[in-house]
Amino acid sequence: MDEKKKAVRAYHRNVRIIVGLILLVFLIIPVLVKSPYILNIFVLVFYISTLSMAWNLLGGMTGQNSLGHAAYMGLGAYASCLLITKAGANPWLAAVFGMVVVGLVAGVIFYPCFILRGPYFTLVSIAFGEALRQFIINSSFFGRASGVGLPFGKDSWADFRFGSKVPYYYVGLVMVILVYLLIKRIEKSRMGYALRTIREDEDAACAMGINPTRYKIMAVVVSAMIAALVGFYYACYIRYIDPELMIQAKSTESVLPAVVGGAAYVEGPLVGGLLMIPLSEFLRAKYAAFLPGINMLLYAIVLLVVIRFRPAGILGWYMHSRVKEFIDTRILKKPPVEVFEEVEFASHTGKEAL
Amino acid sequence: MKQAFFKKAVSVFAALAMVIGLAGGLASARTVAAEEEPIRIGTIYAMSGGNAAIGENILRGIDFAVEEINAQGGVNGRMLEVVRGDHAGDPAQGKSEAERLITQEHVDVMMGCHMSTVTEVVAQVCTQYGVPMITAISTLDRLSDEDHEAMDYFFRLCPLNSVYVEDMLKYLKDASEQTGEEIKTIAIFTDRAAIGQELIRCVELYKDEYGFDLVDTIDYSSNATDLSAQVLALKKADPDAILCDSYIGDATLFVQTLKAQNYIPKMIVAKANGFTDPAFLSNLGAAANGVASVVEFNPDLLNGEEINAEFSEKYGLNMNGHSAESYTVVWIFKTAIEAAGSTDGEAVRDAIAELDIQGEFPGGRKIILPYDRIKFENYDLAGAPHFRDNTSASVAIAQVQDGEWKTVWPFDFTETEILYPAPLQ
Repeated sequence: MDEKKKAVRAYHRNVRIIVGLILLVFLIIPVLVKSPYILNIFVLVFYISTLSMAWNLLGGMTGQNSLGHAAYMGLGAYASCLLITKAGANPWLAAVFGMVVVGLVAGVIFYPCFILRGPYFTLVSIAFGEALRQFIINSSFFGRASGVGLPFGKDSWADFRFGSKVPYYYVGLVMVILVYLLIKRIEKSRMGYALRTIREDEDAACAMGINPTRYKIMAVVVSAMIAALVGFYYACYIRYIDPELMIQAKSTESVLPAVVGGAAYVEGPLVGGLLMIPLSEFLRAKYAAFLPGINMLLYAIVLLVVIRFRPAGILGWYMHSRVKEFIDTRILKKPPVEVFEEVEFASHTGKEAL
Repeated sequence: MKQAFFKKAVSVFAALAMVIGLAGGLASARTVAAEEEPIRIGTIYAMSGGNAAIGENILRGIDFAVEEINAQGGVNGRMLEVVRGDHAGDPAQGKSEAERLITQEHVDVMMGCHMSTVTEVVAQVCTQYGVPMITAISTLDRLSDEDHEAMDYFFRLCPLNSVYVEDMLKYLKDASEQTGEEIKTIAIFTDRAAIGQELIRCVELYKDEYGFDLVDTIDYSSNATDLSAQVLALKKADPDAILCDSYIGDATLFVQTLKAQNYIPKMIVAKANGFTDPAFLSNLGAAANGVASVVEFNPDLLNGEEINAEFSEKYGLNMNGHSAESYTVVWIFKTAIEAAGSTDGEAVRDAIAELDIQGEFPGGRKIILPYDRIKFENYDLAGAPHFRDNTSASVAIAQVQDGEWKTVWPFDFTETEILYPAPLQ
């Protein structure tokens, strides 16, 4: 028994070391890579992956396909930018304000929408996004179509404004990690089980005493708030926003990393983002100058190939692949499943005996 | 077992670190620019997406100037080379591309962009890295206002939106000389998008000074499927002249709806955009006769006839405002780099700031645009300070006559008379 316990512990330790090493690599990248262009790509990866994780909480975990996430992101960006420019507020407070506003708006608007199921929810999310955009274009308070610019000036943490990419890199990295941990926690919580049950069969969920509307609203609010946070980050990074930020195509951008990476997994958007965004930038840098548009064509082909041949996404394939088997058994020294169960069972009964 | 694993992990980690280090090293390997190396001009325009056609016209003008200058022996003995970036209409993408062109491709100077919002973001990047940038066609007033005073590597050749609109109003005033009828009331018909907001803002700014009565402002959402209600409202207001700004689809639909509603306004003056798109004339043919628009360049402008002949021989089409303005920017860079004697960012910036071109470029062409001086200055515009704009810039007005754009204003630059009232047939 002790032997088995040790094996399980060793495996957990190995996993932790690998995760730690990956983190360490990300931490030292800005030290080694001096090119702002490469760092810029990482910043894009961070915020688009975060947005995609927010989408995945709804689309992947709850099975509610939203095509309106650009609107949440845009509204969050607008709410925080306007508070900064009009009231002179501290950006970090404005970020919280933006998240609260978007969370409230999403919760209130979507409450009646969750009577609808499946494609109808998707349609409403598209309409909601466009309605919000039109509202901003027609409202002089929001600057109509002219957008809002954030003031430029000296580097400052209080204003979240830097000439260098490095601070944006680390803040983006922290954002990705925190959002990942949050969603991982949700996945393992009662809410996560409820959401997945709703995804598989809403009626069965009802019969089990889960209130689907309540959980769906919770998911939408959390997801929209994360999108608002991304909007704030985007605004502070680019330092200019306009209603174009909320167009339909941008919502699709938030879906792609999740679908390519594997929507069934919390890690899916991260894997998809890490692969697809550098790919898209690389194709543009390589081909756009002499064959404009060919980069998008190549990107689309990669996308089609992934969706056609690996419909469960890259993680979906990896989880059942020999590569994983090799890594698990050879590198991480994962003990067989029976050993796991035995050890876990023993520890549970052990606790109860105490 | 424990140690073996740790060794493996460390070696994997070391390999990763090496790969990253190598990538970083490669990125910075090319830093020293030898004298024989070409001078690199970075360009950031939309080359894909909905605005690609506009980007294409701009790039033609740039390529044409670069070939001309290289054929004459280049700049300080070095050839010019264009490095293209594509912003696809997205500010975030514009920022990426600017950083790529500056830090990976090591461009010496920058040109861009087509959309002012993208230009704003790209100009920030250029200022941060000390790369001189001139925009040929970004007209948003804000780019040179007080908030952007510190953006001191950024210059603007083209007129500002307010200059465009002021020239439109001047044209309405001057037109009475030829038409014999004075314009008193005006109405605005425009897109609700940013272009329309600018038109409305600028008309409000100048209408009183020129003594016009704004009787109605009518807007619609881009890519409209029906403009009947808007045209009926115009018909009801019945102004002496209509000022408009639209994208190509809406511009076409607007003129078609005017015809369908049997409403023939006496004067229509557009602020370029869709109205000067080549498709406007091919869509409408004779129905567009009499529509006037601001143009930055027109083939029949007395200063531009010669160059347009060469240009159209090479590309099979006329130079438009965007090609002419970007063509001019390449010549400005040439002149400034020669004056600076190097491609050092600060020296070139200072040379651009001191440039004063009157009539023609040293060793080159006449200024082909409808003004005869280029000088970047700080000045006051309608009571607000502005920085580093070409204060002599102005536009011409052209009118569709017999299915072709003919310059009709300023009167010194043309011999064609205004067609009045607009026949729309």
